[in-house]
Parts: sequence; C-alpha cells; structure tokens
Amino acid sequence: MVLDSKALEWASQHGLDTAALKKAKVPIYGKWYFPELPADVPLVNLQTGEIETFGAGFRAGAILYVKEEDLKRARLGPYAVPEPAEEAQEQAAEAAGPEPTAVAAAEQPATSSVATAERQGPSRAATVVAAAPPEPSRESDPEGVEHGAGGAHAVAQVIPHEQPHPQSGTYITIAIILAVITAVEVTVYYVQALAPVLVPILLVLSSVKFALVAGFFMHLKFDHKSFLGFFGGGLAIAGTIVVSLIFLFHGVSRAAGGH
Amino acid sequence: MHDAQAAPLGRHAAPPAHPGYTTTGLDHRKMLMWLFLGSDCMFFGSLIGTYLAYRGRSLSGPTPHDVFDIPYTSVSAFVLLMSSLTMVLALAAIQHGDKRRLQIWLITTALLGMTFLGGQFYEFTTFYDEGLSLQVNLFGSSFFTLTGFHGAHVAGGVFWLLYLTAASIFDRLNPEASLYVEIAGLYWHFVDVVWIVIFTVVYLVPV
Repeated sequence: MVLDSKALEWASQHGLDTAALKKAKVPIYGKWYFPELPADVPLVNLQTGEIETFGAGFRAGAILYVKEEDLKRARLGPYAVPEPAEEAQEQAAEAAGPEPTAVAAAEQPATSSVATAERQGPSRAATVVAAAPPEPSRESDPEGVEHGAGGAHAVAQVIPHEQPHPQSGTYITIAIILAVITAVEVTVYYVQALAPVLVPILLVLSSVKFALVAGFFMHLKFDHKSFLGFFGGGLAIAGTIVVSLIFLFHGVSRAAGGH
Repeated sequence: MHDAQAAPLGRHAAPPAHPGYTTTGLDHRKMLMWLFLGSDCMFFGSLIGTYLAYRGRSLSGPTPHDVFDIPYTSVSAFVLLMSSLTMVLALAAIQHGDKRRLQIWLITTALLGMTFLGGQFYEFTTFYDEGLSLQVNLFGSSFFTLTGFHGAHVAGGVFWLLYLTAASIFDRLNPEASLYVEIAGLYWHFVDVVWIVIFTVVYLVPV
C-alpha cells in the first residue's frame, strides 16, 4: 500500500500531520485502493482513534487504518510526543481545575477527534474518542467518507481491489498509439491492394482503439471488474443487436432473391 | 470484527443517506455511470445496427460514396480522440490537486468537443446542400439519426465540462471531488469510443 497524494490529502483534512506521515512512510490501509487488512494485527482507526483487530480476508474501505506499531514507531496519531509548550499548557489546565478535556472535544465534530488525540497522547486519546459525537456533519465531507456509526460499513469482505491509475506519461503514449492507428486506418482505406481484406483490417484496428480507450482512459483495466461487467454486458447486448439486425435484414434479402 | 462496531450497526438498520455510502465497496455514483454507459451501448448498438441493416438499400441517392469526405472526417475523429487525452489529463490534474491544470485541460477538452461539433455541423449542412436529408432515403434517415444522436451526446458532454470548469473556477470543485471529474470523463470517453465505431463502420467500411 502506498501513501499516495489522496491519502495524504484526506489525512490532512482530518488533522493528521501529513508531513510526518510522509516522512515516516507509514502504510495506510483503505479509502482508495481497498487493500486487504493485515490479519490479527492491532490497527488504529484514523477516524475514531480506536484500536481494532481483524481476521483474515477483510479489506479496508472508506475508513483509513494504520498499524498501531507503525504509528508508535513514527510517533504519530495517539502516540505523538506532545510539544513542551502544550505539555506545560496541559499541566496548567490540570492545575487550574477539573475542566474535562472530553467536554471540549465533544463540542467538536468527530472528524477532529484524531487531531485532538494526536495532541494529547495515548492516555487521553481514549477519553476524547469516547466523548466525540458519533455522527459528524455530513456537509463537511462532500466526498462521502463514512463516519461514526455508519463507518462500520467501511470494512467488509466484499470490498474489491482497485489498482492505482496510470500517470500522465502513459496517457500520452496511449494517445500517440491511437493517433497512429487512426492514420493507419485512413491509409489502408486508400490502398487498393488491401481492398479484399479492408473490412477485417478496419474492424481489428477499430477494436484495438476501442480497447485502449476503455482500458486506459476509462480505467477499466485498473478498476474493479464489476465495472467491466456492467459495460461489457451492455456492449455484448449491443453487439448481438447489430449482428442480429444484419442477419435478419440481409438474410431475408438473400432468401427473397436480393430484394 | 471489533465489538465496538456491532452496536452502531444495530442502531442504523437503514443505510444512511450519504453520498459516499456503499454496500458493495464500489462507489454507487460511479457504478450508476457505468450502468448508464452499458445501457447507452445498447442504444447506439440499435442505431448502428439499423444503419447497417439499411445499408445499400436506398432506392435513390445521394449515397455514402457521393457525400463522404474521408480526410475531413478523419480530422474530426482525430480531434475527438485527442479530447479524450485532455480529459484524462484533467482527471490526473485534479487527483494531484493541480487546480490550474485541471481548468486548462477541462477547457481544452470542451474546445475540442466544440470543434468536433462545428465540424459535424459543417458536414451536415454540406450533405444537405448535396441533396441528402433525413427524409430523402434510408441512408439519410439512418445516417442523420445515428450521427445526430452522437452529436447530441457530445453537446451534453461539452455542457458538463463547462459546468465543471465553472465549478472549479468558483472553488466549488475541490480535489476531494475528483470523482465527479472521473464520472464526467467516463461519459466523455464513451462518446469517443462510440465515434471510433461510427467512424469505422459508417465512414470507412465500404458499401
């Protein structure tokens, strides 16, 4: 699992120290690529701060998970080392009275609970997470990241695998290939010697172009196979319609003596 | 699974009305677009099948051989093909949080789409001047219906791209919303692959 720009961006919006995450090269599970979660390993739910353990065969979904040992190693999340100034502030607050941190945290959306936990260290993290409201404002997350109670759906055995999409260089290479194939199509159209095999050549070249656009530009090669099923199903029916109409009309024509 | 997840699941018997909610692991918005594209395949399959069924059955002219200008249409096909490249570059830009490039590539894609539409409009008017109309023969009926519906799809895509561009300019399209650009891109690429088929079957394959 790579720590890509999307994961970093998501983490940033949820108050995580992305620079530290990047520097520490901490693997993150979930959200974009639905990777399989390591079995029987304590994982930190980056949304709630809870530590959870899963059996074999589970895949991460909308909620990001990180191995607890990785966070400890990188000193991130609940295991962040408090800044001296913050530590002094906490001590001052404790000395000033019993004002509970949990109450302050409860007034914030749950999405900030991780950030709050980061600042307070492991011992406070559990308190803060428990006090945070389970259902945050949905308007704050138009992308549709699941939160709180609904977030239980974020891990399931049916969540599929998706591969990262290619880079711009690959797209440009594919576009050059497509342009060349188009030029070849037009050229063979004018070559009289190829007239007997023109139709098969054109159909093959056209199919290659179709496959390249669908596979690379539409990401069917990289996305979940269900999308290929939805599109391929429609395409198969379309092909059947075309072939059926041709045989129906032209077959009838032949049977009727070409009229 | 962790015990902490059992209780919240029980409290929420009905799925939350959340745009990103999924019971399949697939984003439902993206899945919906793929289902639509699958159905649109059937739509265009019917139109292409009808065109092929009526092919060479016109009782009067003009015929495809009389009106088609292959070099001109090849340029149009190339323009639409390149618009697919700019569309996918727009998606790559928003996925990398590059708002400026996103806007450039979206505008470029829309301009290429409009160029294609302009070319199609010119082609249609030229054909009409040469005597080919929707009513004149089977070729005219099936050709204008097929390419006209494709042009309408391109026009819809251009409006969609312009909307996305405006949304980006007015800060209504943050990098988290890259899914919306991806979905628009799926539609645009589909329009391109349909033209790949039409260009070959209608224009290049001889009658």
